[in-house]
Amino acid sequence: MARKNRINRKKTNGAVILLLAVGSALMFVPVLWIILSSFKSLAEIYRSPPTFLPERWIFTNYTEAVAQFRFLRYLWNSILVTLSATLITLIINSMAAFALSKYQFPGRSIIFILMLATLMIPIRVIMLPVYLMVARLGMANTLLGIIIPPAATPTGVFILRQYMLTISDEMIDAAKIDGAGHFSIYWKIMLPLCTPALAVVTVFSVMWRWNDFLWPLIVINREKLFTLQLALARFRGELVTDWNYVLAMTVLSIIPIVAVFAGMQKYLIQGIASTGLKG
Amino acid sequence: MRSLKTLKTLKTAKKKKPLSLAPYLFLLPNTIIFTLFIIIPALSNFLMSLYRTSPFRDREFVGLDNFRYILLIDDLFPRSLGNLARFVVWDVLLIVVLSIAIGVLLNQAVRGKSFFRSAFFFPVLLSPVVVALVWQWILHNQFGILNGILQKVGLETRPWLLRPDLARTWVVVVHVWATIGFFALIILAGLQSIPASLYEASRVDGSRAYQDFIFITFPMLAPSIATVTILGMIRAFEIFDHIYILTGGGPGTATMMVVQYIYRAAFELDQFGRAAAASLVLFVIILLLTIVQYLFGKRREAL
Amino acid sequence: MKNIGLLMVACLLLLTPALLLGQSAADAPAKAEDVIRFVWFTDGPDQPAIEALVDRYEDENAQVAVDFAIVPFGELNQLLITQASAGQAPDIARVTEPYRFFEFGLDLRPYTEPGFEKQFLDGPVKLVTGPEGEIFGFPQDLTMNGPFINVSLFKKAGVPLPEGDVPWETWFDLAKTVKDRTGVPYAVAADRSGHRLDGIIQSYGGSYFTPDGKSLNLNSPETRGALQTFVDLHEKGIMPLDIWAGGSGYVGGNQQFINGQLVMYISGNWQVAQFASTIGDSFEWKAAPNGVNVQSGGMPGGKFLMAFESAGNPEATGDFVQFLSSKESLAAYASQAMFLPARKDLLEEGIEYPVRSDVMNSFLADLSRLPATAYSDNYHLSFGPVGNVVRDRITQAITGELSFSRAMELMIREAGEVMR
Repeated sequence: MARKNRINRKKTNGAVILLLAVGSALMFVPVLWIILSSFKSLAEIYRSPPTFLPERWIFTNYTEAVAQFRFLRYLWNSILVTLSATLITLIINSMAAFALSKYQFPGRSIIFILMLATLMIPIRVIMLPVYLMVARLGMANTLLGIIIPPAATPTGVFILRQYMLTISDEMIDAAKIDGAGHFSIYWKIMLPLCTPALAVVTVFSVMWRWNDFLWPLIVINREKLFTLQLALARFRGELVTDWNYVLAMTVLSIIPIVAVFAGMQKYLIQGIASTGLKG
Repeated sequence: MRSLKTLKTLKTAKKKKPLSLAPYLFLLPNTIIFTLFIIIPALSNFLMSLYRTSPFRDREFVGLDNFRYILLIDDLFPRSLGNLARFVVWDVLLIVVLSIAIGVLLNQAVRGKSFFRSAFFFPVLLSPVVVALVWQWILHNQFGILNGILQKVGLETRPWLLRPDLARTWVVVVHVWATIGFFALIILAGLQSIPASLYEASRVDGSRAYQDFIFITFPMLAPSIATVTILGMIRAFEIFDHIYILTGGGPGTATMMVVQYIYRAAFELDQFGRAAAASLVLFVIILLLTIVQYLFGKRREAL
Repeated sequence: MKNIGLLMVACLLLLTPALLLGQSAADAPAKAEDVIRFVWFTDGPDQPAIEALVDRYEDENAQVAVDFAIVPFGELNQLLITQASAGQAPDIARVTEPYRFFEFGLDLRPYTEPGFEKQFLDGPVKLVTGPEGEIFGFPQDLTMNGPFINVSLFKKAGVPLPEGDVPWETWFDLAKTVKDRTGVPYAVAADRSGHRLDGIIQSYGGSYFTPDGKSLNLNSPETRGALQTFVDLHEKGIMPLDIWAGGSGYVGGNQQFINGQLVMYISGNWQVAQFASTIGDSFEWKAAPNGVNVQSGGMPGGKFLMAFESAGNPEATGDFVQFLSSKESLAAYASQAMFLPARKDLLEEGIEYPVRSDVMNSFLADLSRLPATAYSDNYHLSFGPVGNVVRDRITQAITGELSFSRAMELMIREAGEVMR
């Protein structure tokens, strides 16, 4: 990586660090404030002017919030939904992207344009008919109903297709000569070459699934199948919102995903460099 | 390591293959789900736009009445379209420029690189509800941290979310803040797939850093930039949660976007037909934009 | 051909998770014979109160399990309409505007004792009575709008509190004086809600609908005048822009009041529990009567429990409804959550509240002298949508986006459209 870098003069280095530091501060301080505020009492959260550090650290926001529902059950449901949905998304999206980028066939443009256009239909707008379909297929009130409908996300197809377009056909041709079939070309050659794009789609899918609450809220009507985001949403009432619990739950709900991201970061970004086009 | 010659083929190579079943099979799983859960619901939604609905009566066929209402009579639909157009332009512009800048910075081999990457990515982890809530507190006229700081250092405080021009600006800033990490990641992935050999070759020719950027980085990054632009547009077009909680479309209707118009019609005023008509108009606009973009992209590919 | 392998992978992909997860979802515990699905949204103190009742019911009825789920209020309407459209509605839900779901409602008459609905106040019962006399639920609590006063600020400013009934203008002027003398940022705030706004309009003799409910009354001189006054209050800085220009849907001023930065806060009795716990001893506060211009104002309101046509057993639902609506249950519920009851017998006997019963009684006193139009407005079937239209359009006048007369014109047109 370092070898690749063309800027190694110290001055520029300093400027880069300074810019990055200022940028990260802008990005991170609001988040830090959430974390700190989650240890404040409701009265202190409502204080004006606001405090930065808690006057008195209290942990009851956490204990009381968690005591109100079965935290581990919700957490497990969230993990199950996020992981399986992401896996399905990755596989079917990359298959579709492979077809759309490496084959010429009648209907290709139409399928692609249609996908791109529907890509921008906000889920809120078609929620009702989508749910009617889910119910008709018997998937209402199952985790499957949360997982499957958004899996064919055009966004994922789009990201992967864009990336696959940049991959040379040489290797495919070489493999063909060796007698490889369509599927093994996709599986053994295309997928490894696409690691960076797959990583981006993974991040996108995990984030999206983990944070989504409206779709699970509609589909699931049994409390034992609730996900973590539904637990967070419950504290928003008509007239009164328990912000202290909302904040505590927010922090709890981002911890797993921060952990995943921290763990994956090496593979996500640095790993990309070693694969990429050098495959 | 790859030579420059092979790289050229990357952009252009696309061979004709004999017609086979394979691409259709690859598309099959995605297309089944896509058809069941996006195409069919969208179509049935469009059918709804021809009806007038009410919780107390059976729905009644009214032809194009809903379209006439939203396009010719209602003042809020055109206004929300205008707001959306303005929002999309600024939002996408900022996202493209900033994601390139941040991506390039994050690609430098400096100390603490991993920390910086995480910091920029952090806001992406937050749900829209939380993002909007936090910024509402920061920007609150009376309780907000921003005005608190301004007051302390003796500067003039402002009602950030209560004046139309300021609120419009902040809505863009907050959305960019919340999503830029994701887009910078796409750029970063793109940057890292540029072979080092290209830069080494140009180094031999004695080129400068900015020349590298213009002649190597930028063209090689084009597909990533296209991805960012299109995804940015999608996110911008469907904006709802961030704004709904941050300004609620206000002050007045200064930041009311089309999805909020649809939501208000359907779930606050019980006018499902009108909401469906509005979503069909939005869809047609998006479709036209997509086709233009696609044709434009095709031409560039062919070049 | 490799294509066959591909096809098989495609099918497997779709099926594996289907089998895996479909099973895990299907094996829900079937210990109890009847599962009652109960959807709730919470404003805080009501939650322990209802949970205690649910637990007691489950203890007393071993064959019934109540699947109690709390959902965010903001998405409640969308949730119920969507699920009910697909025949997946919950058995019972707590709602604010039951009539929006009438087409999905379960008529409780066959499953409850005769005269069930007669136990409650007639006004609220109208809102759960279907076009053919069906009874879809019952009013679980009653709310009353009115102002809260920061008494400490009045004392600090040396301004005596007015005695007896005074018009809103007197309150506004006094609050302004208190604000100026004490240096707090806010004089008067009213929740951003078409319901709260109507409560002020009532004092001026105005209303949203004509008393017969057949047409809009927005253009009457009384209503128009009150709305004009409301817009002017923002222009004069007596009411802050923060609330009405500060968001969509409902925006509250409770944060400002709790902080002691607001002299007068027009809201309602549901705030009492939170105020009692968060304000504590930091300042003295109380409820004041609504302003009296031509008459006393304010609006009644409340929450309902509504039964839906669902997959569940209507007999079990009916029994559960009987339990929740019993005198004993509602007395415990109202006392713990600090609500006013909607049962006639409880209203007569009164409820013992753990704290601040003085405040609760002050709201009750105003409730007894509400004008008739407050009821006819609140129990009008288009009150929700029309209230939202009024709220949004008057906001446009407050922010200066539209002139007052233009805002009124558009308000009346759009309200007419949603009533059609």
